Amino acid sequence: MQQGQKQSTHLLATSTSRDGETMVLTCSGSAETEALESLNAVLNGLHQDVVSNSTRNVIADVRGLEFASSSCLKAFVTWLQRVQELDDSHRYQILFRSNPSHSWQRRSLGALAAFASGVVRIESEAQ
Amino acid sequence: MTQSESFELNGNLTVDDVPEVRRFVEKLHRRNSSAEDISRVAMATHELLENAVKFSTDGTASLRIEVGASQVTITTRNRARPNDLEELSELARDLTSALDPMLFYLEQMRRSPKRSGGLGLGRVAAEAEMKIELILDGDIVQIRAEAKLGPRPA
Repeated sequence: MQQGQKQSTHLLATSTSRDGETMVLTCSGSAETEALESLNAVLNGLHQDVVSNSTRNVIADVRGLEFASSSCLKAFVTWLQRVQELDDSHRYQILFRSNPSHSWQRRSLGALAAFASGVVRIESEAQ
Repeated sequence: MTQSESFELNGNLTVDDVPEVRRFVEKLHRRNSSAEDISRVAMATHELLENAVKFSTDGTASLRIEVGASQVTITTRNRARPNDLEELSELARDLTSALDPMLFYLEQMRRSPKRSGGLGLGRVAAEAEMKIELILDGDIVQIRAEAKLGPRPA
């Protein structure tokens, strides 16, 4: 697995890496509103990287994410909307790995999956 | 927090204080509530208080959480600018008249990248399954969110 960028704010830590044909985004800690700018930068960078490399699959591993404010959730919504707007040849799939012990994830990721059906899948797995 | 207690917070608050309040609420509820209820109440507290703090014109906001045997009520109050009051009134009207809070929330998401407004109220209604009421008194805005506690329908 190739390691990509790592970013960390006071509460949110993110990293991106490549595992064969799949890009992996890992988020842990707490996505408070103060981390919004950093999260937007990570998601923008990831999106550009995925599109320019014609990657078709992204894993967003949020099992270690204890909370996300609605501002940070909006950053994910914006990302998903950009994926939905890609033409068929560039559109990629996103698998969210969620943690059943963080019950907010079932509700929030469920809403994201309903918003971007056909792009988002959710896999629940204890860490 | 036992099943008929309340918690109240008033004063000068910043957005940075909101996660601390959320964690405190989680801790208070841990004794008597299910993980699912704690998560719903904590998230709703975070979103409502963050809105109250962000839109406060004098830097102060208040939060009150009342927990009954099977119900929770979260109330926030703050002073707001006329433009914000107008936008909030419109949002609350659309939200309370929506047949399905989840469909309203998804519509908010669809519009969100092009709008400055957030997803907080829609999230509280759809994800925390809370009924939201807006009360205006001059420049004071009060949001009251109420929900049943206990097992949720599948």
